[in-house]
Amino acid sequence: MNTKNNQIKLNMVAVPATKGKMDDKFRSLIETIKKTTGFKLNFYEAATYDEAIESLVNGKAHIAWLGQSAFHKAVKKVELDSLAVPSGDDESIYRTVLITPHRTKISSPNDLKGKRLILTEKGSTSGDLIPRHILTQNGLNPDISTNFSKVIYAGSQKEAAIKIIKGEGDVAALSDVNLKEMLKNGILQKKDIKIIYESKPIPGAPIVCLKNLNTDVKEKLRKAILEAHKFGAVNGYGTHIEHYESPQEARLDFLKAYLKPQVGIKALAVSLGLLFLTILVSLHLKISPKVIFSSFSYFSDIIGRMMPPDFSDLWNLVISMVETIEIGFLGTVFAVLISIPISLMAAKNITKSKFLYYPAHLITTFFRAVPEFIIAMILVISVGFGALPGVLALGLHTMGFLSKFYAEEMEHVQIGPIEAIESTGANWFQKITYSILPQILPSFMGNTLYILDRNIRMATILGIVGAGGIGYRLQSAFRMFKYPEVSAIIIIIFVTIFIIDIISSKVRHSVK
Amino acid sequence: MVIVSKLKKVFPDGTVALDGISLKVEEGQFTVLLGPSGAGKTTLLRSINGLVKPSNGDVTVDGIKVIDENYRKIRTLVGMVFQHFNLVGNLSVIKNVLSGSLGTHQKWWSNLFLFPKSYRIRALDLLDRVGLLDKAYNRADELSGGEQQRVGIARAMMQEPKVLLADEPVASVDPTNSSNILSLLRDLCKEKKVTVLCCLHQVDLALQFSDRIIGFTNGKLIFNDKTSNLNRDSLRQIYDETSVEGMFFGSDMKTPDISHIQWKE
Ligand SMILES: Nc1ncnc2c1ncn2[C@@H]1O[C@H](COP(=O)(O)OP(=O)(O)O)[C@@H](O)[C@H]1O
Ligand SMILES: [Mg+2]
Repeated sequence: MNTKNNQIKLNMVAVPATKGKMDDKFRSLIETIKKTTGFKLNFYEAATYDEAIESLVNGKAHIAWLGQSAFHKAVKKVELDSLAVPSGDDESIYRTVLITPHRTKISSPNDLKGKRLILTEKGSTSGDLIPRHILTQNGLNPDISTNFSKVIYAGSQKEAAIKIIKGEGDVAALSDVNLKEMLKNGILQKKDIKIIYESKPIPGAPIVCLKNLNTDVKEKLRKAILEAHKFGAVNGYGTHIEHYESPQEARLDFLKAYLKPQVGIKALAVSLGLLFLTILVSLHLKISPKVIFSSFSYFSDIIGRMMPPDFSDLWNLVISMVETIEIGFLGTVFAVLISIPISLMAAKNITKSKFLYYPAHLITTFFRAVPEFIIAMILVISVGFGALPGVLALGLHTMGFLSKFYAEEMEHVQIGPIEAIESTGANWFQKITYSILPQILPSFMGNTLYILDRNIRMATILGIVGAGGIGYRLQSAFRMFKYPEVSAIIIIIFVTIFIIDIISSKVRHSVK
Repeated sequence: MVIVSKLKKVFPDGTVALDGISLKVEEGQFTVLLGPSGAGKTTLLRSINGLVKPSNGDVTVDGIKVIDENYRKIRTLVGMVFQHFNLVGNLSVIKNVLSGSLGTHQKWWSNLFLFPKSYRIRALDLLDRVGLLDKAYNRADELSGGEQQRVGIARAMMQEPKVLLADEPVASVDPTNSSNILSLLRDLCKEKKVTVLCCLHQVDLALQFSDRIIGFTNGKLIFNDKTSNLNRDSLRQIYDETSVEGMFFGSDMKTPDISHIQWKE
């Protein structure tokens, strides 16, 4: 070549990313470069990726577009400079996605071992090399025969997608840009497929030149390419190229794709909003710092009158506390006993009819909604003072929770073991005991223990409405202004609940 | 033993899984249902014990028609071994095996996980046969895939079935175990005169273990004959889209030995 413009002859090679179409794709860019630089520029499409690299190595070509992977291969063999990188809207940066038919058990690349892999075109960047690279990084190198039972080249992204719908393969690697397009055109339907993996953004591949090309020539070329969009549409390989930018800028763009919006402003707005709401609510409730302060003096006065605690009736107080624990316990037993049949009716996969399902849901929702305090008050009026209304109130209210928990657990059991038990000719009852109960047992224990713990704590308060136990003593002590006894009761309750907390968390841990 | 006539299954989404299949399973034989994934093998198998309801046509087992009223009766005659074992992981191995006998042990106390002594001895005997006697009281989910499938086989045999359905019994076990497990299954069934219908997608395993092959693709019957009569052309029809040789390298096989196969051209 010669530095005099009219004599400079350059060759540009492109890899056959889309066979026979590369000329079309690059034509307008080449024409613009020729016009602005005055160079003689000859463009051609190599027969293979390796041939394109070879042309650069032996100096036959000076400029090249190699795609992503051949570019990385080429830089190991010949020194190259990146002239410019395509840029456009967001879609010039694509991601490789792995899709599977919707109805598979595959949910991540980890489940792909032994499956049938569909790629698009041998040697193509987005359809072969990058997916291979990504799979290899996930420990599934397609070249190792035990990783995939079959590797199929579909020919195009569309064919690959169709093979997935038809079930001719288990997983296909596509570019997300193509995927979106196919979803839009109705070639694919969202409900038919599942995306199990999305790669990091893969930037557009650069136009490169030999490093030892004359600096002047290089600069002229670069300028011509970067400004080509001013002279009309540029194109190149990729669907949405608007212009070319310098490699440095491209790197910025690439990094920007990783930027996430920061939460600072949002968090500030939310905090201010909450503060405002708090003030409004306080005003509405007529609570001000002044009121809070003055209430402190009453508070300390009461505390003073409670001291020292009066444990003179300790034995009877302890008996009441034990009674409270017993109320919580019996209430829980009662709740469990009714929850088992009701949850069987409320679990969609077990119940046989809507006439059971809906009433069961109605009952549980109702008793969840009505606090045990209110249930207890009503029961005290109807069955009288004592432990019984407490037990019933706790049982009914927490039945609402337990039935719901149990039913949800039953709905999420694995279907396989159930089918296996059914296949032995087991009856309905045996099906429940052998395949469903064992599966829900750990969470059954966990939930039940949680409710037991909670019921014992609640039972202390229920006494206040007359439903027996230590709460009843607490309320009478208040009424008779026996403040030292009140503080003694509070201490007993505190110690008891503290111990129950420890036991309950220990037990719940051990059943997990 | 098992008679399938004009069986058709269309799933609610319109998938035609079985497209008018008629066949008879020979008593006492080990028949393999062979076909690529999606051929309809599982669907056919499951319609034999009523886990799938056919859209058309019918199935009879031992002269009993497979319909709602007869499910319990059919299921005591027909055992099933599953691809994913379907053991109850929280229960001990021996309880899983014993659960196979629930079809005949219907006393109320069966729900307390109680079984007559004779049943428990038989379960232990079966566990010994499958090589897991010392794991009888382990939790089932502590076992490896291959071991779980052995338990699955013991559970099915506990049932004393006349027919055993096995759906890809070795697809989820370590490939080095595939042959052992299939041998075990075949030997137990030959000994107890159980008719076996087993889905497989690996041709070489099918050739090695079956007396008879029923070949399938797209819900249609392609081949139904003695294993020794299977030839390259019928295989090519079963696996239409791929090379026959390729099928030997099924998901679980590294380099299967196919030298013993005598091709009939
Ligand atoms: N529950 C279902 N709903 C809809 N289609 C199904 C269902 N089960 C299976 N299929 C479809 O029916 C066809 C046969 O499936 P299957 O019997 O599982 O084949 P195989 O066991 O030979 O792999 C497949 O196309 C499959 O996608
Ligand atoms: Mg199947």
